[in-house]
Order: sequence, then structure tokens, then C-alpha cells
Amino acid sequence: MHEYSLACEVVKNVMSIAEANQAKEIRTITLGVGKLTHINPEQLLFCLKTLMTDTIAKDADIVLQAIFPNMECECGYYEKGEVIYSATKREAKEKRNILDFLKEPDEFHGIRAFFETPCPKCEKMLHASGGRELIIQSIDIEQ
Amino acid sequence: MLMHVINVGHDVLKANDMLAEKNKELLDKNGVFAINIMGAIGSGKTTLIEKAIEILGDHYRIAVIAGDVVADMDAARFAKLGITTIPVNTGRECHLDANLIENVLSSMNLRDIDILFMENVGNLICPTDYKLGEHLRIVIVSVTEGDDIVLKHPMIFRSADVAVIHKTDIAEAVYADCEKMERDVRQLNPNIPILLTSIRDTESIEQWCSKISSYI
Repeated sequence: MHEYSLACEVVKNVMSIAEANQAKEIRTITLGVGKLTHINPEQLLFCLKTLMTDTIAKDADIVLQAIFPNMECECGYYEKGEVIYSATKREAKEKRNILDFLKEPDEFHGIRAFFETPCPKCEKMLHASGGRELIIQSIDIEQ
Repeated sequence: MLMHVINVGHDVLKANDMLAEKNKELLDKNGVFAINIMGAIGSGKTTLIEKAIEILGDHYRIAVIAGDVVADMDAARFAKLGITTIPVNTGRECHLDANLIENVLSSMNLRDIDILFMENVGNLICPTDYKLGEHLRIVIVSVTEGDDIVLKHPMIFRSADVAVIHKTDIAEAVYADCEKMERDVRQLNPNIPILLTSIRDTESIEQWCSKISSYI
């Protein structure tokens, strides 16, 4: 259950920032989730929702970003990792859609692909950097 | 009402990494070499640490932090060998983290320790995301987990410094191909040292111990 302890940490931080800014309501929380972490976004969302019941964030939209690692090679080749955003609740309407973007048809091969990609310049194995974070990017509040 | 966007940029996992760095500094200051032992339930983590204590115990002062959801059993096994043992109950958590380790370190007499084993909770997934402040990360898999276990858990093999394929003596009985497991580890982490060990093969246990002491 490492999603639960991470969700606790996120909520603790979000609430203290909201309080410091005299928030009456938290409208949106944007979180960046590294693709190389073992975080399951669906479990993370479930834990966050549960922990935020009866708080000023109970109706908040949680926007997730998938942060892909940067790929580097000792020859100097560098490929910047993509950041893909989920739709907000208002945009997506359906709750499922928020998660779909993070679910690849074959997650296991998705992760392995980062390891086995040879450098397009020199064909050595690429080294992944980043993609190991869980970042509270921003919160939208009403004061 | 006023709408307001607050940029935060706080990395929750980085907070653990920073705490881990602090732990490492404390260990360095006291001349302690810390080893994070990771592996699935029943892979042989406790047994291999016991063997290391038996063989290396004459040359080094060894202590163990035994992490488990309920930690007392393994700790009792280590305590029998007459070394400092601290059980860490992780409660609902499936891994040790830098915060738990920080609390334990503050209660230990680090000046009296040369090697500190941190036996992680039996799990090949969650421990990967959490640094503890260790100098060496060792992952142990046993042939009984099936010879496809390595490719199923790419991240932990990628992040480890040493890989151990254990219980090789019963590989045939469980239809596991040790060479395939070795190849899979190499594919994920080409330069990682790989040890094949079995409790019945004294030579392999000696290699395990000399591998550890080669880092110290």
C-alpha cells in the first residue's frame, strides 16, 4: 500500500499550503507522476479521494501528469521526456477517462522499452533520468 | 471569491531521497557501511544475512535492521547470533523508507558498527522507489520464484548494485533455468555483478561473503 502513504503525504502538504493561503475551497490539484515509479494512479486517486472527504478539497479535480524519463547516452545524445496531462473532470466528464491516459495496453512492456532502447546515434543502451517523481505541481484555490 | 493558482513543485518522493542522503551522511561520519537487502518473501534474505554474519563476524562488527510487517521473528534469528538487531515493524507499509531508518539510526550506537544490513520487507516492487541511505543495494531472487521473475521486475534489477540468484541447488526440481535468469539480469543491467548461491554449496556462500567484503 505505498500509494496510501504517498497520498497521506500529498494531502498533508496540499492542506498546509491551502491553509497558508486562506483557501476556502481547493478546486484543482495537479500531480506529476513519474513513469518509472511503481505508483498505480488508480489506487493513488482512490486514496486521495478517501483522505479528502470532509475537507475543503472534497470536490477538487485531480489532474495527473505522466512524466516520462529523459533518455541520455554517453555519446551525448539526449531525448527530453514527454509530459502527458490527463483531462480534468470537467473536460472528460467520465471518471474513467481521467485514468485512461496512464494505462498503456501493456504497461510492463512500456516500462521495459525504456531500458532496451538503443541510442539512435551510437546504438549503446540509453540511460533513463527522471521519471521517478511524485510532484505536487500546483493547486487552484478559492479564497 | 478569488481564484488563485499556487505553483508548488514539491516532490514527495524526493523528500525521501533527501532524508536518505542525510542518513548516508550520518553513516559515513561514523564509518558504517550500509547494505539494503531486497528480495521477495522467502527468497533467502534472512538466511544469506545470517551466513554473512557467521563468516564475516570475526572481522567486522555487524548489526541488522530487520524490517517486516511484523518484524520480531527475523530479529530473533539475528539476535541468536549475538549481534545488535533492531526490528522495524513497518505496519501497513510494504517497504522500509528513509524516515523509518532515520528513527532507528538515532537509537543505535553507530560508532560500534562496521557493516549494517538493512533487510527490507519481502517485496520486489515498493522498495525500489525508496532509498534508505545505503551504500550498496543487493537484490536476492530465488529459483523457486520462477525463472521469469527477473523480467517481471525490471526496475529493481536496474537500481541494484549486486544481484543474487539463490537456492540454485533446487533449480531442477522447480524447473527453473539459472542461466536464463542470469541472462535476464544482464539484459536489464549489463554491468551488475551476479552471484549464484545455495546454502548447500559452501563455496558459493564464501563468494557471497567475499563479494560483500570487497565493497568495504
